[in-house]
Amino acid sequence: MLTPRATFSQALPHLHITALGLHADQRVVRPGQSFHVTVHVHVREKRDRLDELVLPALTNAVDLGDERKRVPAADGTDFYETLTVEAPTVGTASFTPAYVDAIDPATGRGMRYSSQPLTVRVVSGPAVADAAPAALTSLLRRVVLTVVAGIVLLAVASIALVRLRRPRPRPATVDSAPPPPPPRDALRAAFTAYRARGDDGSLDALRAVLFTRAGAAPGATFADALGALGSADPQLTRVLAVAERARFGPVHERPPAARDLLALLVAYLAEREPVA
Amino acid sequence: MTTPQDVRDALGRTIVGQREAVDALVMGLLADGHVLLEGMPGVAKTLACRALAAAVGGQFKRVQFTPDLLPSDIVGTRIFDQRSGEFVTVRGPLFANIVLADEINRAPAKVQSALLEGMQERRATIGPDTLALPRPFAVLATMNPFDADGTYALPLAQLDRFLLSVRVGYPSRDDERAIVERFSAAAAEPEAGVATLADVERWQGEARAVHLNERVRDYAVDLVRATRGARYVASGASPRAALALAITARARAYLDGRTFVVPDDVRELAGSVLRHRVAFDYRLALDAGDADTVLAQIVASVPAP
Repeated sequence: MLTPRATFSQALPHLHITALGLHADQRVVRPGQSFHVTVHVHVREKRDRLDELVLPALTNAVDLGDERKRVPAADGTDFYETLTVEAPTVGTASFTPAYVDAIDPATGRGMRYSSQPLTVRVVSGPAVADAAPAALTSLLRRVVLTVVAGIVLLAVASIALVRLRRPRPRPATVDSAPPPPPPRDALRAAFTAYRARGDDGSLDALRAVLFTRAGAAPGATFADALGALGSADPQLTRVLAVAERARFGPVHERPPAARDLLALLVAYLAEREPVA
Repeated sequence: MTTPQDVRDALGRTIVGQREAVDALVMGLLADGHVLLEGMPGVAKTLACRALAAAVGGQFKRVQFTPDLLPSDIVGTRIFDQRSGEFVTVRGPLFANIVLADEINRAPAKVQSALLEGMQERRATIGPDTLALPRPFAVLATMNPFDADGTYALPLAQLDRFLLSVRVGYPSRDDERAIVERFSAAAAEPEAGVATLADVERWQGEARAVHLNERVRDYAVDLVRATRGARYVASGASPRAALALAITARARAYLDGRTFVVPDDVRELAGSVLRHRVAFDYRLALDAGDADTVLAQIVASVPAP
């Protein structure tokens, strides 16, 4: 998944980035259960390293280790960074977008290529039940998946036969996850989710979007966001401050802060991003 | 009503260009802890401590640590009063609200121990008498990172008693120019009586009540745990460091006028809280590394909530 946006071009490499994705091998885990999150980047260039790749920041997840793999390809190089993580508490383990800052050789402009964010549900009790009904369900699911996979394979083979003589262009995105909203809509989407759910997970996601909006890198804190924003946008500064109070304030201060935050965001979005 | 910000501002008017040291001193006072100041001679370490004592109306005592110093020179002693024919207790400089232990590493271990026992227990024993130290009580110690010949390095366990360790660097050129302009004609006189000792005790109580969200608490714990087993680290920070980080983060939030701690409080203080609590191994010296840089990398490796 690619979400490029203009960024600083000083000392950045020229890279054709055609894919940047973030995947987890589990969608639902138990607290303490380790799972893998993989960042995949494809560049058209032959590269030995990709030091410019910035890994996602983790919320409710502890990084147990990581492994970086480089795979030369006919049309460039694939990089895989696999994080082994575990979520300590029930709720949501979330991962901010991974990104690469590079100069787009086509335009000569500095761009930030971002993956989609990722969330994994963390539930109490066994993630995969071993009771008989669950086993039956699992068996049925496998049968259905096998049939569906067979149909898909037939379809793919047919399409491949048709396209055999044409050079295969690499798709710009290779993720199976739904595309993220464009940056312009990311704030509205995060706001909508927070208004609907009102939980800490959605507030964390909203804060992450706000920090990015302020110009801070993923994984940033309130101070980073203020530093990036400077005095450029007092309205956003106010939103950021109230979001911190809504997230970390004392119990009795959080509900009014949450209401303030929603009201401020309504005004902010109405002014900056009016719905057509 | 006087606030801690008033004290900070008063110190800022006396101490030019040492904002981090001034903040650390005020935070240490709010958190009821002791502060270690490391820096070259002449960077206003002593003046900062004197200014803090003057601002809060506390009694200030300075002890210059030397190799021939005795524990009784700090704690006090009993002398025979010929007129009454009895021994009387004479309290040492430890019995003050703000005690400046200048060049703490120049005195031998038993003197350091006497001071550190007072810091921990908040009382001192002179002969048969065990006396409580005044409240509030804070030890501000200085160490010169150079001139290490003839010094007695403080063991890690004793350094752990200090809530914060601050590097007091040279001021910027503009600040140094301002220092010369303001203080070359007249000596720097700290502002006195900005607050009272009762104010300080009230602030300490209010700072302890600042809300610490569990995510931020966990972040502090994770930061401390990340020092253990990290590259270049021979011995990581103790659980007391996690406690110190939480206490100081509350003080920082209170000093900023907030009722709750944010992750930035923890992150910004991590260096000052962990610097003197982490022992680095020989590989750091072999690689010509810098302890603060390693600590910064450890802090950066832990995602903030």
